[in-house]
Amino acid sequence: MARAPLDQQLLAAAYRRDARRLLVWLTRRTYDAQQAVDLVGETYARAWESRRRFSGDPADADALAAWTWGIARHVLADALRRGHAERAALQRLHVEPPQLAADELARLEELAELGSLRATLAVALEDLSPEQRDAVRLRVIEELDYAAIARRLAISEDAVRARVSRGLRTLATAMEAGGAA
Amino acid sequence: MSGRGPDQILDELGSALADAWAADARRPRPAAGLRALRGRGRRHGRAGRRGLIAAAAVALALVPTAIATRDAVWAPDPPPLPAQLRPHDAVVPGGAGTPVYVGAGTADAVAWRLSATTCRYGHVEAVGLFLSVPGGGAGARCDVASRQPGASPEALAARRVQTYYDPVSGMTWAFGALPAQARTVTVTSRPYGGGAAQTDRIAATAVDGQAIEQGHLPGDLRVFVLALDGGRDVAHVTVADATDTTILTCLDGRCDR
Repeated sequence: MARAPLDQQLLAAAYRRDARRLLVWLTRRTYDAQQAVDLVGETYARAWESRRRFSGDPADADALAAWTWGIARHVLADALRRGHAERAALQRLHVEPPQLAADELARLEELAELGSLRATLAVALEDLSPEQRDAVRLRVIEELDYAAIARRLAISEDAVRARVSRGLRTLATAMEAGGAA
Repeated sequence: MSGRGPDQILDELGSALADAWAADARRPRPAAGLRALRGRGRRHGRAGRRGLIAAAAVALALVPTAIATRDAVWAPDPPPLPAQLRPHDAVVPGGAGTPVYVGAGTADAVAWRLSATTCRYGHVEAVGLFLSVPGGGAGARCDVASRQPGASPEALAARRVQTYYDPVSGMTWAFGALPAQARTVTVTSRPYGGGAAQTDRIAATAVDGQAIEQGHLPGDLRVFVLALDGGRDVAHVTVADATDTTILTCLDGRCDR
């Protein structure tokens, strides 16, 4: 019997099943709840665009989740390299992700249990260069926003984002080993 | 709006996505980007495509390529390399783009199509090119780097020029990925088994911006495709900028300046 293609209903069902888990996964890797929401949106926007290349059974929830996570890894790698979330697929679909208020960001960070990760990070920070360590410490441990860090370090916000992103990427291996999945 | 919980935020995003998917599904498929890239390339019928798939499978015994349904500029996505063929010390890219078509055309009535994939290994960025012709195809994947000197990510990034002899058309194809400032490519080749050298000069073509965006390719990437009669060894390739200054010299496909 011919297998049904991955259509809108099946992808929407996958979103309902997996998006919360993906949001936590991305928040724990970016330490930025707003960016994580953007990346969830970009992941599913790209999944839609490349749905014809999904070669598994769309009714297989595990296969679909694994495929989606593969897209999410690419989206995350792009974001860490660029220092901000890539939103090209979202823009092509004319989707604007929700903008989060401070209390909403706090709830998402609580959901992702960022507090417990901060202790692990504090130890792993020693492996970073001094510039990256300062930027990551101020952003993740002291929870300053990018503008405040830029003023503190006397560099641009873009430079702060780049240092934080690269530092987090360097730390990713340590955090995986520390059970951050 | 303030006070939403994570589930409400996700519901909001999910609704926006679902609406966009529904609108997109009703929209006719865009073809302009592909048409722009096709150039004078001819389309293959179903029988022709089956022949192409069969020939490609023979030519690529180690790396079989699946021909998938095409959207605007998406190229066929090769299946993952089987684990048993992956080097023991394989370096997995930190990021990999989606294969996209970056050029198409005809040479001596033989249609060709070129696709590209970007792989990033830390600070090293490599572009894998794959040329498809009715008789088969060849190229480089960019996800099989190893820690060996000749197969490291750095070596992969320097291997910009590929050659392929197509037994069906009896032509040798030279093709490559070039930096933004490249304008002309000079290819020196000799017949298999020796003989007089021949030099051909060809323009480096800018890749369509849509393909660069969709494939996350290096900005202002340029490419070239040159068809040579008969079986030939490509001995030497030089790449020049707009002032005709040589910016790359490639031996055996490796462009180490």
